[in-house]
Amino acid sequence: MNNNGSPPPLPIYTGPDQNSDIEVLSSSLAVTITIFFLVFSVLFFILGNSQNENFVRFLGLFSINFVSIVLEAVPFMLIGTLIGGAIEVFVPVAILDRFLGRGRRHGIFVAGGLGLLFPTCECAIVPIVRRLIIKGVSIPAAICFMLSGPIVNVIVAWSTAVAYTYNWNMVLLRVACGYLVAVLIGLVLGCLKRPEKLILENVAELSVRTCGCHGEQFQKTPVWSKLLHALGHARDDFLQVGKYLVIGAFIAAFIRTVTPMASFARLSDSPEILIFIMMGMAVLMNLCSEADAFIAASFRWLLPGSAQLGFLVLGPMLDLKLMVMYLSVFRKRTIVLLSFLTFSVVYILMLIVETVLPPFV
Amino acid sequence: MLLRVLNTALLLIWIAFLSWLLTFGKNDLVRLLHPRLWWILGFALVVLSLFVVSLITGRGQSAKKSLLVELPGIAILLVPVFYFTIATDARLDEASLHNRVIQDEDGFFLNNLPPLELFGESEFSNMTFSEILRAPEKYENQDVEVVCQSFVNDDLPENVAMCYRYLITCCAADALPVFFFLMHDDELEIENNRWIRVRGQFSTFSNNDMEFPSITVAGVEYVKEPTFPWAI
Repeated sequence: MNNNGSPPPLPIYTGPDQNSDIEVLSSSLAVTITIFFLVFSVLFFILGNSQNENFVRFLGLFSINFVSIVLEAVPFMLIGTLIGGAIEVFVPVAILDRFLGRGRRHGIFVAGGLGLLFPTCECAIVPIVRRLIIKGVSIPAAICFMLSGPIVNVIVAWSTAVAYTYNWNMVLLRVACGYLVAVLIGLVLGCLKRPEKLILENVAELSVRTCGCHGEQFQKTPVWSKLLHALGHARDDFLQVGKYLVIGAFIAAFIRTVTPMASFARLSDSPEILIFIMMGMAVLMNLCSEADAFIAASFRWLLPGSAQLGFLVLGPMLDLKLMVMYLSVFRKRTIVLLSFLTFSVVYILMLIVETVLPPFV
Repeated sequence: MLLRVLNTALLLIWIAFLSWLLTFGKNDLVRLLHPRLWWILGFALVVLSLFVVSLITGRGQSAKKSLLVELPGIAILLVPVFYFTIATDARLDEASLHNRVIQDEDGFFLNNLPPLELFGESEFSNMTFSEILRAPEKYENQDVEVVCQSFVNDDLPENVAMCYRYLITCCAADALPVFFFLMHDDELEIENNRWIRVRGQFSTFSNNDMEFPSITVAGVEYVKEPTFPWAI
């Protein structure tokens, strides 16, 4: 209640503050990418009316792949954005801080499994992690959550199970490897004397949102109002992130259409190379972690399980789209370090999996 | 305000698109997404409708965003809808067979069929393509009848053609070909890249350490594309 006895006004989510220079820079980069894609995709579409029969046939096959990937992935991304919105509104940061605060080394191990409680896709997790850092969560723990959250969660496990027709070996290995990689990187970063040097100096200023989700006044509002608020976050995430999904699906469909399977079959004697190739594909394809299993599963008759697993573990942690998003939290050299560390740890782990485990797909 | 209108329009277009797919566009949708995943599109439809409600009521209204910055993103989300118009007329055919079949210098490899329930595959025959591939020993030396796409190519031995369908796990992007070899006599000419109903005696033969299914063709009839074109 305020001074005149009337109930407090319902807060309205007004989106992230766009005034920061770095935010504007990141946006400019994103706009450049989106405009480039838009021009390319429109030209590609128009060329479909050409007289070249081979190109028209290619475009038809490409369109089938592209639209089917989008139709399959969009619902999973929507689930992720809804959960992200709910976390934003309903989970008090104080609770997270209690387990993941600075000086709590065990927080890294907790953070690695946090996705089981708060499932989010990689696209939604960056703004959440940025907020967590500002609220006092230790930076290594926050990074650990950022890397593991999109893999170690029930939605991703479920979509992996569906894609692999309930092959639980693949599901368990994906979740376990995701946890292991994230915790290892978190522990390495935890050894740094000044981990705060990893993030942008003005990250606090950057990540202040004006929605007031965590304010005392907001906590007193009715549940339905909070639900609408969460829906607003989810919707904004969808509108912001959806375009990256479309771009990722476009690239994935193009690679799918032009790459003959036989070329993979010829490389099947070199699992080390296949793991590397699939990890490179994961970085380039920018797939959502809730849908990437469906792509990886299409290679299950062609490639060793370790190569598919490398694709599934690295993709949600490191791709071109994520690298751009990381610019809003981390210094450029941190992004380079994080990329190198993540790629190396996943690659070494996959080599161990290939050597030690029997075929599991 | 304009951005809000554009976002609402974008979401409404997607709602209309998904609604059409799930009602009048099922014949097109089945060529893109496995029917057992259609319910997730229904879920998406509900969520997108809620998003529209939240935009119209002003709850969770985004502000302070530049129209110039947001406009390309809105346009990009419409790209799949435009490409759908191309996808409806296209089919996975012999060109994609070349790309997706696994082969090396010793010949073809045959994809395994995952243990999924069968439904809706057979439209012109009381035998299903997948059923025979899953349990070939049951049909050894028996007369069978299957509906599939034909593949006739100079790379195949003389009087041998292929009869294939695509195996779909979730969506068309993961479709992989599964096939029979068709053994026929000199007089029979099978047209390439057509839907056919084949009758003949079924048998398996070994090559490259793999068992391949084949049909000694007794008759071929050209049929229209089935509503459910996949092997499952």
